[in-house]
Formats: sequence, structure tokens, C-alpha cells
Amino acid sequence: MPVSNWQWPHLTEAWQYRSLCLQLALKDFRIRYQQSLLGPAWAVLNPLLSTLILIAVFQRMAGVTIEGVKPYAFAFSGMVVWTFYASIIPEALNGMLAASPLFRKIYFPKLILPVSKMLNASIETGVSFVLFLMACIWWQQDLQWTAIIHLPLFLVMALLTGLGLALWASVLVALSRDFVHGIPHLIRLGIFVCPIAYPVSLVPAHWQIIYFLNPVSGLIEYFRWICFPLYDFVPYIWISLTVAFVITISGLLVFTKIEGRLNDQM
Amino acid sequence: MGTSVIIAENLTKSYRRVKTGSKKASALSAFFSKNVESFKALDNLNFEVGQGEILGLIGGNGAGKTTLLKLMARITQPSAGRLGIKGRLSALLEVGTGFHPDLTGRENILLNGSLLGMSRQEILRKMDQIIDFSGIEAFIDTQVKNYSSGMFVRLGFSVSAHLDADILLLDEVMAVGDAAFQHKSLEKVEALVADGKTVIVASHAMNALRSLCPQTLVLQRGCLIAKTDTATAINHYLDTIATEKNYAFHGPWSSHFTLQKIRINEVAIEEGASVSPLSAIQISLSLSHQSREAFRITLSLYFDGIRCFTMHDVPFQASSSTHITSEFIIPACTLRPGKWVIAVGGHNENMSQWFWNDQCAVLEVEEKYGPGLEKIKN
Repeated sequence: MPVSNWQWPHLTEAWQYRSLCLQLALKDFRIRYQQSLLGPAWAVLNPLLSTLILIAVFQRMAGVTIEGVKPYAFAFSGMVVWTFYASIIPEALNGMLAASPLFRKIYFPKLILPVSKMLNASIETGVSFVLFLMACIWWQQDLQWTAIIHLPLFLVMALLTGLGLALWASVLVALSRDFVHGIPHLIRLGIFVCPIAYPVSLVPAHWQIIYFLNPVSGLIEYFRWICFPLYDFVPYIWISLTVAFVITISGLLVFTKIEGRLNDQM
Repeated sequence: MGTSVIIAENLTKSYRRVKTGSKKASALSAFFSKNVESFKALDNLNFEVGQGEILGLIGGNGAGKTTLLKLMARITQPSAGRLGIKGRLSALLEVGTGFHPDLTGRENILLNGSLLGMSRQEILRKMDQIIDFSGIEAFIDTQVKNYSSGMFVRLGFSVSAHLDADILLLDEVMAVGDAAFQHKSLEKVEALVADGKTVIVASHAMNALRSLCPQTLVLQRGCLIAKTDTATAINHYLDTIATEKNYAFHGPWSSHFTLQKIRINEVAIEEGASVSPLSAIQISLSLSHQSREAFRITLSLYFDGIRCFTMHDVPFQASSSTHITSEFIIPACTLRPGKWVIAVGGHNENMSQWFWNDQCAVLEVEEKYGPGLEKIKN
């Protein structure tokens, strides 16, 4: 097998296939709610239900109060960010498996697959976000209006991190099917190791560097810092963002490297 | 002929396969294990295809036709060498690839079209044409899972055929749908050819190749034997079958049966003697087997890639000996002169177990005419 040099993905070509990306995302969207009575209403119901469950559970937990943030709003904000990653990784994983028969029969830039999964995960997360805003108004939670300036930057970083994780999930599942079984456990673990239902201050100070090696932790904290006034900026967020950056760049490189071999391997 | 649109330089494709006898087959274990060997599906191919050329592609089983088509379609990458392709390429290798059963015909046209590299506007512009060509207007807003298999391939072919490609790859796809649709497909291909598109056709149907392609590539075990006019190419191809003596079977029972010898009129077929059509021809097959179940042996004769005769021996019976000989006698004045490809197979009573090799050997019938032969002259 020839050892090719590391290469960037062929972005102009991927752009030419943008219509495929859209069609794949649309397909997933249509299929997901098909043969259900409520149909696309689930796109709203799903995040709504998971939030209601979260609130029901959170009410019983010993809440650590944070100045200026209502406990529900605190949990919900973490959930909005978390669900994006919790859905994009299995989606990318299963998407690769489902598309593997295609690799043997047709050529298309494989980068389209994780990108379309990312688009798809963005839909429900977008709905979640709108619900979050509405809930904040309902709970009379103060929001920081300067967030509007920060939000686009946050979105770019969150999406790129999502893409990076999706790329790595795709690469791993292409290497071995073991990851199909292993990765869901990591995601289940993630709900505890990310600051969703508890504040970061509960994590011992000397563990925080390691804690923020998880890019999602940093993004959750970053999101809260944007949304809530008086919310502390944890400097460790920079660690998370750096890790996220490395994951995305390496994901692109590794994915491009194995792309040509996918047909023979999967 | 103008400029070349496909250039292959030292094109090689090797696959790694786990050595026989070892059990691990996962990608990761293959990566670390030493139990893999590489074999060359294509070995050092050099050829060029000019713009507007209609090129045939023939070769026996495992000669590398499919690998070559896949390389051209960029489904897989060369292991060494270079394959340059100029222009947009449409591969009609497997029509309807990527159709999703839960989407309607119309939604699938959009999905499949974009999978083939068409833009949304392009598909929407051609939507009516595609639906019209497929001939299933009435069901276009029905989910594809409710389609018959015929409707499915018709829709698939329609999408692929409407891609504005410069190069078209065909792999026996003319056998799609009913006779009327096949005729329509062939007309579409001919229209594309008339349009000056470059076409590459892999086929076993020699007469179709002869009428469609001036030139043909012959592959044998991954090597390019010749790129020459189709009549010569077909002769080369039949020679490869004759010299290769590839008696290996495929199918669920392939490991139970081994074809050892083919004799024509008491002479081993490797002797290469041609037979006269004026007298009866006796074909005898020596096989060894390990089957306890009853079975029968079949023998088919192909002319120009078309199966003309199929015969089978005695009724199903289990054999106590491990060696059997099946004899087939073809009456005088039955086979027309030319090269007939001998296919050998067999199966059990309910056809659940079978084995088959459609390119065992070549039977050459002499160009001799005499009384009684007028009826098979053409």
C-alpha cells in the first residue's frame, strides 16, 4: 500500500457536491420522522422532552447556586450544547456504516457525509436553542444582550468541533467496528464528565486542567459565559478550544488520508 | 480521434487479502497481522482512450474488468501508476445505487442525481425528462420500497443516463428492464455515442461488442493482452480461456467438486484439436467430488457470449465413487463453425447447492460444410 503524504481535503470538489450534502441531510430528516404520527413535530418535541426530564431530575438534586443564573437555565444551557455532540457522534458513526455499500459502487467526496450529519444535528440543536431562549424569558432569567456579537464566533467553533469529532468517529469506525460498540459508552459517560448539571467549581482545582481537555466542557462554559451576565470566564476554556482545534485539523487530515481506502476497507 | 481523455500509465491495483487458513479479517487485525498477502488485480496497464472512442472491454472471470471500471469511476484508487481522466464521467455500473426505500421516486431522483454529482438546478431542470424516460410517471410520488424491481432499475438507469457526462462506463447494463426498455436504453446509449461521448463497455455479449465497438481491450489475470479491433480481440479472449485451463468452480458447492479433465472425442481438450461439425461430437468430463447427496452435472455451450445449449446428464443420483465421468453427445450438424465456450456446472435436486464455471474451455468447430449443414450456416 503506498504511503501518501498528508493532504488537505479537496474542498473545491466537496463544494461542487454541496447539493448532495443538502440532499443527504434532507433524506435523514425525512426518514427520521417518517411513519410516526407526529412527524417533524418530533424535531421540537425531542429537545422539549429531554429538557423536561432534565428539569424533573434536576429539581431533586442539591443545587449549587450560581450568582445571577437560575438553576434550570444553568442545566438547560449545558444541555443545549451537549445534545449537539451527543447526537452528531453516533450519527456520523452510523452514517459511515450505512453508506459503506455506497463506497463500493459510486464515487463522491466522503467529506460530505460527516458534514451532512453535522447539518442534521444542527436542526434539533437549533430548535433546542430557541426553546432555551423562550424558557429563559419564562423563568425571567437575565440574558446578556452582547451575546449576539459573540454568538457567531461561538457557532463557528462549536460547529467545527462537531465536525472534528464526527470526522474522528468516522475514521475510527472505518478502522474497526469495535468502536461502534465502544463510542456510545463514551457518550453516556460524557453526560457526567461535562459540566451540564453541576458547576465547574465542584471540580477540584488541580483536576481542572485535565477536566478541560474535554472540548465539550469548554464549549459549554463558553456558551454560558456568553449568555449569562456575571458568569465567570474560566481561563481553562482556552485549553478546551485548543484541543477542539487540534481535533478538527487532525480529523480533516486523517479523514482525507483514509478516504481513498474506504472502498477497500469497509 | 483527437485528444486522449483516459490515459493509464503503469496502472496497478493490488489488494491485500488475509491468507487462506487464518481467521481474523477485521481491518485492524489485518493491519497488524502478518497473515496478509497482496495480489495484483491489475498489473502495469498502459493504454489511452481517445475522445469519442467507443471501447469494448473483455476478459475472463477475475481478469480485472470490474477493477478497471472501478478505478476509472474513482470508486477505488490505484496502488501504483497513474490514471488520468479528462471530463465528467458517468458510471452505469450499478444503477439505482444509493436509492433509499423510504423516499419517493422523485425524492430519490434528487438524492441519486446529487450522488452522481449533478447540481440541484440541473436535476430539477431534467426532472421531467428523467421521469418521462423511466416510464413510471404514475408512481413517481410513491415510496421506492413499493416499486417492483423493474421499476427500480428503470428509474435508476434514467437518472444515470441523464447525467451530462463526457465519458460513459457501461457494465452489461443493457440488460435492464423489459425488452421495450432495453431497446430504449440502447437507443439512449447510441444517441450519446452519436453526440461524440467516449464510451467504455464491459460485456460478455460478443455480438453486441462487435456491432458497437470498433476497438476492444482484452484483459487476462490483471494484464492487458491487447488493445485491438474487436474481432481480433474476441479471438484473443477465447485464446485466453483455452490456454488458462481455469477449471475452478464458484458457488456454494465449489469446494466439493473438481473438474479434472475435458475430453473431446476421446482427445484431451488441451491438445487443441478442432472438431468437424459433420459428425457427432462427444464431450466427456472427468470430475472428482465429495458429495453424498444426489446431484447432476450440466454442460452449456456459449457462442458469442450467448448461451445456446444447456444439457444435463443422467437423473439425480448419489455416487459412491469419488470419481465420475459425464458424457455428452452433440448430434452431427448441430454446432455452427467457430469457437464455442464450454461451461460446466452441477446442482442438487432442489438447486440449493450448485457450482458453476462459465469459461472452462473453448471448443473449436471447423469451417467445414457438407450435406445437412446448410441449415446451420447462419
